[in-house]
Amino acid sequence: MKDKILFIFYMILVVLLTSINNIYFFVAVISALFLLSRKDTVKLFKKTVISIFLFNFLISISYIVYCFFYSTPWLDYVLLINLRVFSLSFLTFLFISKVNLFKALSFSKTLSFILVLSYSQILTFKKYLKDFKFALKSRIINKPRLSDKYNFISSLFFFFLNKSINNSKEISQAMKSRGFFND
Amino acid sequence: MHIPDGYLSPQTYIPAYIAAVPLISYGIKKLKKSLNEDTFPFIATLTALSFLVMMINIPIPGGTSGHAIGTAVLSILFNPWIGFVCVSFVLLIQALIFGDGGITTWAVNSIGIGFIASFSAYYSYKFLNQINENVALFFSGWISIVLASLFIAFILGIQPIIAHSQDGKPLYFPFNLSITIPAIVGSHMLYFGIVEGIFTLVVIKFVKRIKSYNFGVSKNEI
Repeated sequence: MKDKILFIFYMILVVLLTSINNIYFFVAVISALFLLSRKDTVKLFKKTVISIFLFNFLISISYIVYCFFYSTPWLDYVLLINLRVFSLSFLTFLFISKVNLFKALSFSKTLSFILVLSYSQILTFKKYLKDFKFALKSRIINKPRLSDKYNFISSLFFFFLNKSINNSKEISQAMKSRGFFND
Repeated sequence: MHIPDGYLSPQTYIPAYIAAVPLISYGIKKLKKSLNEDTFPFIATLTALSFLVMMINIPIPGGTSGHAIGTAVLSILFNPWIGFVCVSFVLLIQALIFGDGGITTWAVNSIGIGFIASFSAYYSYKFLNQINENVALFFSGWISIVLASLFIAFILGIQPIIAHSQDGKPLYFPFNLSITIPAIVGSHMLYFGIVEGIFTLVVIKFVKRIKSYNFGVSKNEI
């Protein structure tokens, strides 16, 4: 129940953060989020900056250049958008670190079920992909030709496609045998 | 291509949610009718596959590379609803679990990268396949990402018009349509569209060469 309440609270806060356009409000929110994250502040700060840096930097710089040509002030907008994006991302990372998302989304059986299954499959597939890349690296000396790269990617996709179909059948049978479906 | 949190106004993302959630529910219901108890595992494993596709770098002639989104491949191999539903779940997982993309922007991203890309790929493939299969495959991949980028560029480009301060300054995404359309759509026409087209062509040709492609799930059933 705690996770569900926190999820609702998170969603309300997200809508609030995208509806208010006051720089001081965002400074206050970010300070509050830092206090809430306690010893994780530095870790979450770094994670947030890394995830938003590229896009925000590009938009901010482009906007500054744009304003320079049109001789319009840019500081207010650049501060507002960066603070807003930072607070939203920091809030999301804080939420992810504190809440069991699968429990939070358990209000919808379908949604939580698909998310749990997909996530577990994603973790397995990511490991396989890593192994495939290492296997390719260990078997080649020269840079592969473009056609070899395409063959590798196609085989990779084919492997994962087959794995997806087979896994889905196995999961379905496993669920059936455990009485998940009402026959 | 997908938009991060903070760049869309509530006037945009709330209607987008109102449109996207029923569309996904309808898609799942449609799949449930034919797949019964296989539906959820099938969607889940193809969602994982779709996530994985976004992690694979596709080289293009000239020495550069980029990643595909794979919506066109899923749409052509199975069904446009599968492509849409799976890519939407990938975007949701990226936003909620990995903190990538955005929760407020999820619906817009889902409509663009999921719905528009999936259906445009499916119908352009169906139409062009009567003329030439290779052209149809490449074009369906290319058009899927170009139309998705057009939608995203449109949504971003209207932000300064629908949400600005009293003195006319932008509050969300700052650039209007005259900048977003050429910048976003142009790059997708000339670069990412080619990546997606090559990926769709190469992968589907390979899959069809190796195996008849219903994989035990009839294409007509879903």
